[in-house]
Amino acid sequence: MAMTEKLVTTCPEVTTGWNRRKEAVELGAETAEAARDWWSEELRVSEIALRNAPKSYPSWYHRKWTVSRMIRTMGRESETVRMTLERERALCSRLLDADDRNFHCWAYRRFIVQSLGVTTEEELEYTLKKIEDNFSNYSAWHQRSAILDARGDVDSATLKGEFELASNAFYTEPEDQSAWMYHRWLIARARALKIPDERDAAIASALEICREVAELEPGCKWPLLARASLEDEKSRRDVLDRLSSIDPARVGYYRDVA
Amino acid sequence: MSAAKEFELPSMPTLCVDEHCAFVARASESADTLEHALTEHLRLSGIYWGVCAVYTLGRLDRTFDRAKKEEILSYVDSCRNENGSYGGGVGHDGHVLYTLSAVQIYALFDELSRIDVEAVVGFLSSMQLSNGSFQGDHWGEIDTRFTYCALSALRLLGRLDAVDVDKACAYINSCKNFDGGFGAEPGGESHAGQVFTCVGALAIGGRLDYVDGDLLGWWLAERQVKVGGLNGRPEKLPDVCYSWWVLSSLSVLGKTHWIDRAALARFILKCQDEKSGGISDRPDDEPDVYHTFFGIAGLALMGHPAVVEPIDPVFALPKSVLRRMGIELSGTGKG
Ligand SMILES: [Zn+2]
Repeated sequence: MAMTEKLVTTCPEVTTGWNRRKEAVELGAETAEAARDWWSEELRVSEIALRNAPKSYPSWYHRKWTVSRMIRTMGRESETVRMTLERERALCSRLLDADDRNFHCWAYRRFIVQSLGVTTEEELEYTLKKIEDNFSNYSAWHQRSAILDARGDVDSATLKGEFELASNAFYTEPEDQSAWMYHRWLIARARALKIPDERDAAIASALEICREVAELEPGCKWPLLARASLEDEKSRRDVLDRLSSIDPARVGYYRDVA
Repeated sequence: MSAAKEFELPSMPTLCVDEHCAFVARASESADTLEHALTEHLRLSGIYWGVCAVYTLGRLDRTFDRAKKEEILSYVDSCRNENGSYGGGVGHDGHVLYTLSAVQIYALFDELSRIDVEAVVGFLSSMQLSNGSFQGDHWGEIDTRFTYCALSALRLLGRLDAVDVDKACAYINSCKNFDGGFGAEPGGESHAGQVFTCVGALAIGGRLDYVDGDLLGWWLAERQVKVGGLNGRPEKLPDVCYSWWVLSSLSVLGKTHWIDRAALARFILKCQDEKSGGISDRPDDEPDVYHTFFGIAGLALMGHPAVVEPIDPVFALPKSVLRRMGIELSGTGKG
């Protein structure tokens, strides 16, 4: 094990090294030693590896494998498992404070909170905090959309709050695309509202805000892009023409959607 | 102006074909360097990148003589495991990732007869799980990259029938996000590399109808940043390898004209080491075989005249290789 520890902590990408450790764990489980604390070692070693290489696929997977195996052999309700899961959740928060776009860590965090049975509300709260810390955190916007989507249809009250959140972001950082991409998704959700009055009101208020931002930031393409999907036919063509001149790299796109 | 015409402008740097071939040749010789030792575990992928790069430049035979070719092929042979899988290097455990690399290398050298097809098919099909997803090896890591690798390798071997393609595609669809992109697993953030594998898998499986082409095409087009290069996720730095991951996906969707191809080409060409050959992730970084291949492959999709062998956006293999194997080509041909 000392040899594989050296290998996986210096070359964490070498899957074969991690595999030898997994084999040793499985072998140990069949001996009299079965009860010994095998997981602490695996968590310790993979933490060293992740500290050196926070984007290493095999290191993250080894960690997930270790925790999954704990859950399988001891049960979700075991005190040791719960304590481990809570520690893992705290570790993820620390790592995401250091790099809030590490998608490996976000994925692992999803696995941990799911195993803990954390509520949707609590998770939405976490993404809100991450977004408010940094509006440019696309990973958090993504996570938020995934939680809301998984919950089912997004109702008009929820949408209202989400539109507000996106607006806060683009009043602060109009050139950052994260909130605008989320906004495009919100518009699609608003169009899917079943009650016509609610739908029309949501679209109208989104359009109003985009017009306002476009006026405040005349050189910014993003409010225009949003307007292109919200305006009537005539204004839409004008907006797309302006987009073509502000953002010539994507003129092919503006032509195709015109 | 089409991208191909732009390549004739004096402002466009030239592609250093000779230097890149020499770089690839050197990379496959230097067996005793530290870099070589550190990348031992993914040697098969490295060989595929290098061989495919010189093939697309029309220099396969000139770069690898008969003896070298045999040396490479017997190295690949020796990476084979009992269960039909291939490891990244000799002595490494088998994995779906490197099994595809092995098949690709044999295909490039027209040496598919060296493959024990039944064994490889047996391994790949045993990696499919009941929800349609694929694990990379028997330790259970699941990732949409592995779905692509398995479907691509099976298609190249003419054995897609060995797995449940519909279920595999439905699983990919369950990894689709609010932005039209795809992640590594359900709920995983969209990433251009992952988008390539998912769009590719759906193309192979005949289920591109799962893709929202306008939404995903737009997200992909927004990967282009001011300097012309492409990034892999919003608000990230550009990197030459995304020239391939993004552009190949756009190509399958018939939307490569949604970005400024000339600006992208200029970015890739600026990442060349004009003296010693090779392409790096960003200008002035150290070149490597990975970015050299994906830079050249990106230029191939834009019709660069020096990349004489056009490349298929789904299989990431030269079209002439696929034609030789009787596999119909992907992409819409537009753009
Ligand atoms: Zn790269």
